Amino acid sequence: MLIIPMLSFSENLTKWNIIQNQSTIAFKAMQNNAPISGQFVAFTGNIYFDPAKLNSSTAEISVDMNSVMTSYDEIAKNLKTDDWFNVSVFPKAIFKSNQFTKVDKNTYQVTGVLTIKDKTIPLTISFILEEYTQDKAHVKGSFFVKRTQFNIGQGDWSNTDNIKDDVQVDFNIFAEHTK
Amino acid sequence: MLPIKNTIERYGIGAIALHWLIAFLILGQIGLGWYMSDLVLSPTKIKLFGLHKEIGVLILILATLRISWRTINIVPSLMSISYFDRVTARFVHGILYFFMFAVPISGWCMSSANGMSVSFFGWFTLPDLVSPDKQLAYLFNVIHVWLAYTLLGTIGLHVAGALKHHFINKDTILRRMLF
Repeated sequence: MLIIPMLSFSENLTKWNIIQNQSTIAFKAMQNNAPISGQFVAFTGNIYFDPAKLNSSTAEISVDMNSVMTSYDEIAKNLKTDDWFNVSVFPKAIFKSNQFTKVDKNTYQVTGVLTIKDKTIPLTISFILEEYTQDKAHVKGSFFVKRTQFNIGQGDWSNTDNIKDDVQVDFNIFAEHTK
Repeated sequence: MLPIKNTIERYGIGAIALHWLIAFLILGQIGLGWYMSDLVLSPTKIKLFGLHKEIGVLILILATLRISWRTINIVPSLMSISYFDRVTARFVHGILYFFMFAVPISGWCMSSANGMSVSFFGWFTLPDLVSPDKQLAYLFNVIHVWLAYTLLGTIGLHVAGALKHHFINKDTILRRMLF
């Protein structure tokens, strides 16, 4: 009897590499009832995804928090400090997937955990698979985080009157298949 | 009982109310702007900036109402004062109307250029007049502050003129703008 060791399912799945200069991870917070946006320009991913093999698909996205940019410089500079992202101590934010499921035609959902600073919180992300060919994949989606759950904006800044708790994160990722 | 509309001899309640309300708000704004600019970034600074912008929009709305009100009203006659005084008065009033619009609009542009959109007390968010741009933000900052201080100087001239008419000429010019 042949016993086939069940090692790393993902070995058989397509590995995807994020095309950094075509992809974006942006966020939108509310200050004084008006939106303020920014983005992270450096991020990587270990993605093994195949819509036909969702149970074995995995994704781990790592965002370089130091790469945050906002149109108003002051904001980005402050976001890197201790009370906010504290990038010197926590340089990366990581999303680790747990399970992918298909919702309908092109819509999928992935459950997992998001770690920012020293907090790890379960997160479910819905996304749309805009394009999926042998060589190229394109996903788009958005989710909300409550910044106070991650102690983003602590001390005096934890007051959510002027800078709201809910922050919207939008991602638009293009990836290519590694040969 | 004072009429609501102006007569050939004096201003009515409508004009008087708008005059003093806007005057009070403008002086408050100049003080607030001057104070808040020097603060170190903190939740209080964010709150004060928000308040400053909200009042700025309010002034813009009131100024629009005011100029509309002026066009459908008789402008009280200045034929009782000297030609020089008449020309100076009309000129200074014209400049004040200019500032009433230019100062808040330049502030609006500055907010837009900084990517910090302006919300009017949470009711609605003003469209951004320009795209986020560091150079533009700095330019509008300078324009906004310079206009504000020039406005303050012009207000000084305006007040001096009113007091001159009241105490030196001993005419009814100042009284016409009082309840």
